[in-house]
Amino acid sequence: MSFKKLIENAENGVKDTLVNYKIVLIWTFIAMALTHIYFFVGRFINEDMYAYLRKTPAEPGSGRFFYGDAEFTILPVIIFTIIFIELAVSVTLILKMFKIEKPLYGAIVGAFMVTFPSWSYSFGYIFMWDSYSLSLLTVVLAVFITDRYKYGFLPGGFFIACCLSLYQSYIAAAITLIIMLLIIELMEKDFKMVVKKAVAFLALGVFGVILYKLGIWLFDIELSSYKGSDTMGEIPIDMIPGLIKRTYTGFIQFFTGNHFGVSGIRFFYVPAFLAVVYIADIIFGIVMLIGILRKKKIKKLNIIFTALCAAALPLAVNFVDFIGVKTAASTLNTYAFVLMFILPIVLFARYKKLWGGVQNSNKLFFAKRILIVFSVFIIGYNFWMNNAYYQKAEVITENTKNFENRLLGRFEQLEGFTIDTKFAIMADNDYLFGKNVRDHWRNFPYIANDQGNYGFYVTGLRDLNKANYKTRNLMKNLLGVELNTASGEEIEEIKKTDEYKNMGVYPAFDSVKMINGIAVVNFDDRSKDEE
Amino acid sequence: MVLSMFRIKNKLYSVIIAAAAAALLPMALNFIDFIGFKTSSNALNIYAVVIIFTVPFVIIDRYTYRIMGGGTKTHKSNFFFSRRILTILSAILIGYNFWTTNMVYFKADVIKTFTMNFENRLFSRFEQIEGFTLDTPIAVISDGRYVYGKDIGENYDLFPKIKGNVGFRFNIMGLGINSQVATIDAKILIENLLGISVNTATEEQIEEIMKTDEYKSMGVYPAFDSAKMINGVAVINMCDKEIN
Repeated sequence: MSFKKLIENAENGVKDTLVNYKIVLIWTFIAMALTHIYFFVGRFINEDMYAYLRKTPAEPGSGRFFYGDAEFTILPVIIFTIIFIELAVSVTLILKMFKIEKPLYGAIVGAFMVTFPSWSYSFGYIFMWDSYSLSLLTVVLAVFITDRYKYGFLPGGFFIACCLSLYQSYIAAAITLIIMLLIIELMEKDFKMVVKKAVAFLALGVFGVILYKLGIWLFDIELSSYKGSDTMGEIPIDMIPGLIKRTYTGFIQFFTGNHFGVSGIRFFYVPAFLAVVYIADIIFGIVMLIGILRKKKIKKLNIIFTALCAAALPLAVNFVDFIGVKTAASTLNTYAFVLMFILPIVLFARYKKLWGGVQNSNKLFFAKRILIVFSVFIIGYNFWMNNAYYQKAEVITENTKNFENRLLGRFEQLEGFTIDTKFAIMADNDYLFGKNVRDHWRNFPYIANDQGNYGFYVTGLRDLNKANYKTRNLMKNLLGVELNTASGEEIEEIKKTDEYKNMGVYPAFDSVKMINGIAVVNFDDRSKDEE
Repeated sequence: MVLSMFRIKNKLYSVIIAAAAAALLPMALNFIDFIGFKTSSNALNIYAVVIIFTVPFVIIDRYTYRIMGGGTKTHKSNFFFSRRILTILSAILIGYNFWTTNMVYFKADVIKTFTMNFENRLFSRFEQIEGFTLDTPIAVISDGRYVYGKDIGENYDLFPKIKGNVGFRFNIMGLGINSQVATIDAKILIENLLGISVNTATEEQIEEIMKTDEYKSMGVYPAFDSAKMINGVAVINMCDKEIN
């Protein structure tokens, strides 16, 4: 095949996709723009990110070495465009994988995928912005290629390795997609053929992990113990039952929130009515699956394995909870749950005639509308959740900015202060101004388990080591004023002075002083330490 | 493209005129640089350069069939790679334009935030002067060399790619090249960014203030003694008299 022919084929492929999935892509873009544009045209910070423009290298110890040491300046609105393209490709590949042709169902799948609430929790980590959507794209590509081509697991393995080097938790999406495909295959093909397919997917996973490990060795990366990166996947046998229990419990908690006898909000806030919709949607999917199995009259072995695959779905979806021995899954690791909402759509789109019987039957009429109502409801809630998070991020950013401004104003008014004067923050874990209000902030009671914005402010005032360099960077990025920080030795000397020991706690009038030529502000209520 | 165009049988003088016109294009596009003999052109004067990027499209659209003698399949295929390369190059350039434009808007937003926070602190200092009320006229003494609003030029590491930016030279705006400008700028910024209406000292009042011993003993903002009431005017000094 000539180079020219290759380009023509690629162009025709893209043109066909754009034509066939035009409506899906338009609605997916509308859903994504409405949900996320607030964030991408603003300037928000979070606990780990206050540069809002610069992509910096991820910690190598996290195992996320895809971008290496690359550091560059990039605009939020351009990242939005890149993320949309990556998600759009993921959506079309999933629709092709499951042979969903009707634009209505495709648009619903697209809207689910771009509005899932883990996006807003994740996007605050600007240095990881496009890593999440690219990681998703790599796993979808890996599964798609393996499903479609005989030796697809070979290039697929490369994409799995890419996923693991970008953001590991999206591997759960790969496993869930594989199980969903196997369920479809078990309902349509001979058991032996399904086994072959399963072996190909197993080879995909093994090859992908081998390539990833090879990458770690090649780039000489030492995985850190942060979030259990160094022991991920090394599961002691005696811990397996407990981990399985944690995984299945977490799966249930995602849908129930803290209702129906379940305690604690594990992931996102779920109001009671939404929990009802979630459960109803899942039950709808189960009822359809059973109905399809009965109508299809497939072999007993296929039925058993279909049931086993369905029972394994919670383990696949919440895989990070199982494999993360040292640390449980968090809101950032839950994206695969979106596939649980897509599965009923897949089953209905593919098998509605088989399951519903006669076209325009009452069963089909109401089932379609119920499914659409459930989906629109959940997508609407996702939209709300994302924007509520972005609003919180904006408020935190404004609070931080105003706080840093007042702090700088206090420094400026110290006798002898100039722009060359160093400063020192004396911080403490109990500081009330930045009190940890993770789940109980009166203005945002619905933003649960927030990792990026868990206080009133994001200056890291609780930790002495971080307070100084974070404050320096926040003043530079939010106020345009670049100050220098006191060294560790200078801070230790300050702590020994009587002047420091007599200081009040910010914002008291005596909480900001010049000591040893350094502008010192005290957030440490030492009277509490003595109690 | 241009060379292909000349496969057409033109008379020699047409070729010479076309070559001369092409040679004059830079003069036309950057005409301000030529005509502005006291000051060269800057980023605001170069819009005409965009026309140069449209020329390849004009040529390929007008002369494709004329050169090749008609729109047959063979003739179209001769332009297969040219058209695609041109499209890719154009997409890259348009994408870069999009990025640059939004980077400038981003910088504008950041500088506005820096300025607003600065004016907030500045006004807070005015407020703390004994005897200050909202009717008290304000004066900002400045000589345009104020360190806080350093001339970031092309070296501001938050926005390293914004070159030749005439609108946002400083990280904090409105610090004025002299006291009269700085005072009026402070009034406008305090009113528009903070919503507080203030009066300003007149030029004569400022000149009188600068002659006083009280002013001469003032420190430079943000020093604790850089804000004082002098002759009934709330004064902030941003002028380092030692340098002067």
